[in-house]
Amino acid sequence: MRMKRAPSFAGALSERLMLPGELLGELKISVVGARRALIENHQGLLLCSPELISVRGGRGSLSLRGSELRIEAMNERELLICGRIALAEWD
Amino acid sequence: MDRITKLLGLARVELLCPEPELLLNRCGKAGLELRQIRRKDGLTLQAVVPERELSALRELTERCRGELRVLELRGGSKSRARLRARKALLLALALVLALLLSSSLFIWEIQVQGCETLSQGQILRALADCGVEPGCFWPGISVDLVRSRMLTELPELAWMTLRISGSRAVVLVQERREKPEIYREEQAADIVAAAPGVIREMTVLNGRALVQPGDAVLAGEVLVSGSMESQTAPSRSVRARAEIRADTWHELTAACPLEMLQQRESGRSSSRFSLQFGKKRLKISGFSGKALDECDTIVHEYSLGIEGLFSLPVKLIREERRSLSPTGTEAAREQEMETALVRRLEEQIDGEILESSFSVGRADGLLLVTLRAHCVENIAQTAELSPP
Repeated sequence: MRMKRAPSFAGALSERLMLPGELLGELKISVVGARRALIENHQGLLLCSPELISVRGGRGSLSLRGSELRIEAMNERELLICGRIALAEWD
Repeated sequence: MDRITKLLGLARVELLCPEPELLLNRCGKAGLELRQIRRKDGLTLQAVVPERELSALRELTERCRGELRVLELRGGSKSRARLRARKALLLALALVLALLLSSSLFIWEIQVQGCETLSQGQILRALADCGVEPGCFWPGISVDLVRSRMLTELPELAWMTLRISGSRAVVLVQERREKPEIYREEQAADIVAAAPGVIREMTVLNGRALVQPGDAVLAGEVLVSGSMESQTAPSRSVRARAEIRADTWHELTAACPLEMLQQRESGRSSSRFSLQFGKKRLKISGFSGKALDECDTIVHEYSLGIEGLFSLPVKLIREERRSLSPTGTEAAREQEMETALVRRLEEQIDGEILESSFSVGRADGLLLVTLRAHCVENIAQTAELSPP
């Protein structure tokens, strides 16, 4: 799994103050195996297809690539994605 | 998805929209609970949504210049419509509900707690005389009135109360304690021997000892006198008190007809089931085979309802008959008679058995077992003196 993290003020602040980044609105992703991912603090869906799901975060976006991807549940703050997750990319 | 949402109904929908992501984001913002979202093609999504949110989703889809198509409805309105067609079922459900509600106004089960010497049957009969019995209308019962009548009818009761919860009545009773033996200290009394024996040790607390350890005494013989004599003053009477332990010998005999055979469970049993509605009993299945002459009948009662909440006016009764067959040897009979004799002697004496022996004989068609025992017991017995 390859991850690119863009430097952000919120990220730097949370690192300096040792605060959990999700309190400052950063995206939080919890992955269980390669079958399930919970994304918190999302600010909207950018793309949704069985191969790519892309969500907007506070600063940048997160893309999950794989196959048979589907959104199992969605609300204003959280997204539960199921399927075969191969890659998570931060832009 | 929680069970209530599922019960209220789910809809599987197809959303045709030029910008499906935009629609999903708007749904998220509007708080719509979309599940199992699948992209079918560039413009089409499939999702599951609670039925109650269907109209809001339709409105949002139309705002996004899309179209909503319901593919399937599960539970909710579909189930309700199906249920509405089954009028007989609805009627039966309503009837059962009405019966349940109305049956909770009647007492169907009475539990008695706290009785020791009185039997449950005695208390239940007295309660029935007071109008509290299975099938009675409990809102019409006055607990105070029942208590007053019960205490009058059963003088052995010191206190009672009746607690009714649903169709269960719990009767709590407290039995009257017997008054201890009250004697007047000024009433003069002697201590006499309750049984013949040889005195082993004596503790005289009040009175004048007439015997000493090692003396043989007969039943009824005065051991400690209540008459205190003085050389300087006239004699006075007191209440003698003493504990006198003596060696005693007892002989007890038990007889049993030789032809009497011991009954033991043969292991064969049969059951009969019946339903009891209030006081009426309806037989469901009878005992299989012929009636057994020598048998024990054990009745098991199973109340229907929820323990502690309510009980239905129906009880399942199972009568179990266990057949008895004449088995057992004479030696086993002797053993049982010996045990019974020892038990009887232990109840009879205020002390302990030091040694015992048994003898067995037969006479006039009887099996005779004799117990001879050497005991140590307290033989002091108070004998009040009549006033001069």
